[in-house]
Amino acid sequence: MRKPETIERLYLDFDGFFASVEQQADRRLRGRPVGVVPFEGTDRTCVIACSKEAKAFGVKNVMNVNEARQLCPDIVLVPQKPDLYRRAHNTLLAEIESVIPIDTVKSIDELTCRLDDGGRRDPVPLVDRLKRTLANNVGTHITSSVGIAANRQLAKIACKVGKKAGETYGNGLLIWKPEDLPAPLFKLTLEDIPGVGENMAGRLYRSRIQTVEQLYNLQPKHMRKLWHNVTGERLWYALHGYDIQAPAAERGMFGHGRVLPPESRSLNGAYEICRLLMIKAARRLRRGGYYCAGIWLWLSIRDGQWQGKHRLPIVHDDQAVLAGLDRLWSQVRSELPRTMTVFRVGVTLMDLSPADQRQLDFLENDDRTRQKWERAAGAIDRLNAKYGRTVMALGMWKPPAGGHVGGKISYTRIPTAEDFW
Amino acid sequence: MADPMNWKRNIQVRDLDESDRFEMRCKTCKHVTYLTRSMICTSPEREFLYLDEVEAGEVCKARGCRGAVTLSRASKGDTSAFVGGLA
Repeated sequence: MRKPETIERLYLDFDGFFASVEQQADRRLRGRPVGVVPFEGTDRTCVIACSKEAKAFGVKNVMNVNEARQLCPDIVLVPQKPDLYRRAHNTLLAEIESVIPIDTVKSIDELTCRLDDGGRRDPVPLVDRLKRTLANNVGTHITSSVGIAANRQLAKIACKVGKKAGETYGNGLLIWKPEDLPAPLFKLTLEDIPGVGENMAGRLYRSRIQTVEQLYNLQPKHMRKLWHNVTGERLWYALHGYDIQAPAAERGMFGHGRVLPPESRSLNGAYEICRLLMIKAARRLRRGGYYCAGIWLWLSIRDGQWQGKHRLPIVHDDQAVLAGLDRLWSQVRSELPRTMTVFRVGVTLMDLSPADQRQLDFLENDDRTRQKWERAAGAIDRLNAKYGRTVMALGMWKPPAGGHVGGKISYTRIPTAEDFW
Repeated sequence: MADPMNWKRNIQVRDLDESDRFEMRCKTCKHVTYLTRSMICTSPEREFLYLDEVEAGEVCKARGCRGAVTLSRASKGDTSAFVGGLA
């Protein structure tokens, strides 16, 4: 494995992305502590992102609303606007690409770039130009922190450290040249290393590894043993400055989940949202050029959870997946009391096959009725695309209060405009 | 103040890939439609247009609207996952 002798990677992370996009879009929020919540009208939810002003009061991302209010009584809670964040992401990326090519988008607010020879020699003017372009063409309220190092992982860690290194949160720049390391790493705690979560830190402490220096001085195979898989060894090489990064992952499923608004927490309300999520997942499945052979339904209910799977022939049309959902939902109704409260739902289309590699079970007949439903689904998709919204769907189309069904932003997916139709 | 080298002023239609998609969002009614290179290139000389010129020439496709639009690059959706925390 190659060990770069100089800095090669840039990692950019927008500061408090959702909250700063809200501040950029709405001048009334500027300079005020802002917390983004999943939806309005209830305190039984959490702040999913907060502004630097709120962070100064000790508010953290994924903090209960009541706790956030105790720490910061003046916090302004705004409901999330995934479509706004998605559009901001697209605009920011286009501006960044006008300065430096983007190597990989890691999430809605994180990305990495490879430095060219000029950037390796003197990265500061490059970062200045990048930040100036974003400030001039998008706005001054969306700031970013940049880390530069020999590989992606070290650049990410540098970025995270640089974000908190200044007098105020964010807008950082930290460069870790190979000759500077590993001293800056040794100042961190184990939990500061991406890949060392709470459970892994506990495992390391039990193995008498309490500092990053002790972790750094292990052997690669020892880290593999501690992690119980190859990730530990990969992390060793990453911390030692080798050119290693996350392997490309293949798509294994299309899914959607949602925390239900208070008025939809009955079984009937949850079913309607599951149906919408299932149609949205099936649309994405078709857009991605896949078929699926199974569906999975998950409900978070009072005092526990319910989950079930149903096998399907290899399909991608709405009728087939909705029929599968109905089968699972009849199980839900027979197993759960009618008055059960459902807090969250998740639907997943799994066992995927690319459309050009579809292998039907020889006992299953790809019958004419199925093909007709596929053509109907294609026609519905084309009509919706033509009008830029859902003008046709199988069954009722009543998005819940708060909207954004299927438009959730996750680490692995940035929704497109079609996801909001 | 807008940078004179805003990304739309920097890219010509001929620089685009066939797989590149752009979102056209109406400033009035918020209607969104997609635009590709082949949809822009209705005549050969349009290949030489810059994207800000394309944006200025397009109008909303929603019935009866014809509002001005904003052009933005459409993301391909998927991101490169963190595997075991590895970036």
